Amino acid sequence: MGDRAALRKIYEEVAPDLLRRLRRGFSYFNKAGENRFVKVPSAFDREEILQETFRRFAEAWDKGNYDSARPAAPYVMRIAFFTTLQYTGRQTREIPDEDVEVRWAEAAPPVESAEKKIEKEQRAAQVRAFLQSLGEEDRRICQLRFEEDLSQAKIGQRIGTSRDHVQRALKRLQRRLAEFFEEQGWVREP
Amino acid sequence: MNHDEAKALIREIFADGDVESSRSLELRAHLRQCEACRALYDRWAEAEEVLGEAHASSASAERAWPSVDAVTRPASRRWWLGAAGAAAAALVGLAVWPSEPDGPIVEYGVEISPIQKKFRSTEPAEDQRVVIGRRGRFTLLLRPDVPTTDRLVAAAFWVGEEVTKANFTWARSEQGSIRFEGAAADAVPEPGPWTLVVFVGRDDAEPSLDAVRQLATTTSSSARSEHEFAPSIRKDDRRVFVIPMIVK
Repeated sequence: MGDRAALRKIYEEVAPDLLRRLRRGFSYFNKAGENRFVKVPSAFDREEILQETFRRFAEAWDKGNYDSARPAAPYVMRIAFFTTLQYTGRQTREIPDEDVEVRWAEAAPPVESAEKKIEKEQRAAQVRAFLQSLGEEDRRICQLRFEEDLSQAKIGQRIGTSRDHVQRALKRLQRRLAEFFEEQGWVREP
Repeated sequence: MNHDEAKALIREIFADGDVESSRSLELRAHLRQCEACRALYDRWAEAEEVLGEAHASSASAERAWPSVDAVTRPASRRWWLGAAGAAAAALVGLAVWPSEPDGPIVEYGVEISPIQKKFRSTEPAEDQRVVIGRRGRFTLLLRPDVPTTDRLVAAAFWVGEEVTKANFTWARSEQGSIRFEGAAADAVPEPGPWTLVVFVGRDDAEPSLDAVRQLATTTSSSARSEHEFAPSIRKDDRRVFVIPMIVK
């Protein structure tokens, strides 16, 4: 396979966006001209699709079917589209031709039921209360990490501390959050 | 990996994030088979989403990286060294036709991609197994569902905890199928139900011992006719044919 460092770089750039898109969903026209919408609600399934997508991408690169001078993201998304249709068990007639247009959803998927909506709002409120109970620095780190998705190094720069300090803080916070999820009963075994 | 270990590891992955790649891969293999643990994994991921979509996606990508790394790198482990392996490797590529085999000639199944099938560990019924004698040779015709220039690189007999290398020769037919000629003698220490695992891949595609065990325990065994057995699956860079047998 080409360059592993280059693959890792592409993965870091493309994978989170791909996972987000799979969660939000996409639409396309199947061979019969019918409009279809697909989303992947399970995190595990999304990660499986991600794995298979990058396996196919690496294979294409290895065989010279992908030219590394081209932007990788559209190429990977294309592979992900067909991989998702196969993974979700679409029949052959449902899988369109290569030149199909894919429309990825712009926003997060709407919540399915009123009950789910209330549960989601309650959880958001509970998390806000939990974050409020943290010290000022921890709160700031959480905001930069979870809302702005900054790297540890960038967070360190913003708050005037080292990357190592941020890393230790995040590890601590991650464990506290896990305990919080367990206390709330959100991660009970089904 | 058992159920309790998986539950603990799921928590560790979400609470700590620092899990060895090999354990992460082991967990993913378990999740593919265990619906309950998969549902638990999804609950943790759903809880994480309340922190923000961007963060949840990044964290998910980080969790998936060990398995992406594993399936995108060329195979490098070499457990196939040894005289038997070297001898088999020397024979690869030669169209060697021994004297008339005295075992069955079985036309083998069509490859099915792992993303099209969920695999369960089911024990194949007796009538779904290929019956071979311990003496003499047997022949299988392996048909990948797309033409491939991949080579037959390794084969092993497996039952329980025991994995033994199979001695074989192979050649490619004009139709693209692979004619596998093997013998159970020397490889199978005692009669009974065994599974033959055949790896088709590139020159450097050498399976690990754990891969053989994992594949042999996780394959589906739906038979469609008396001549079609467990479908092959694609693992990393290799196509794998998993053939339940009875050695008499």
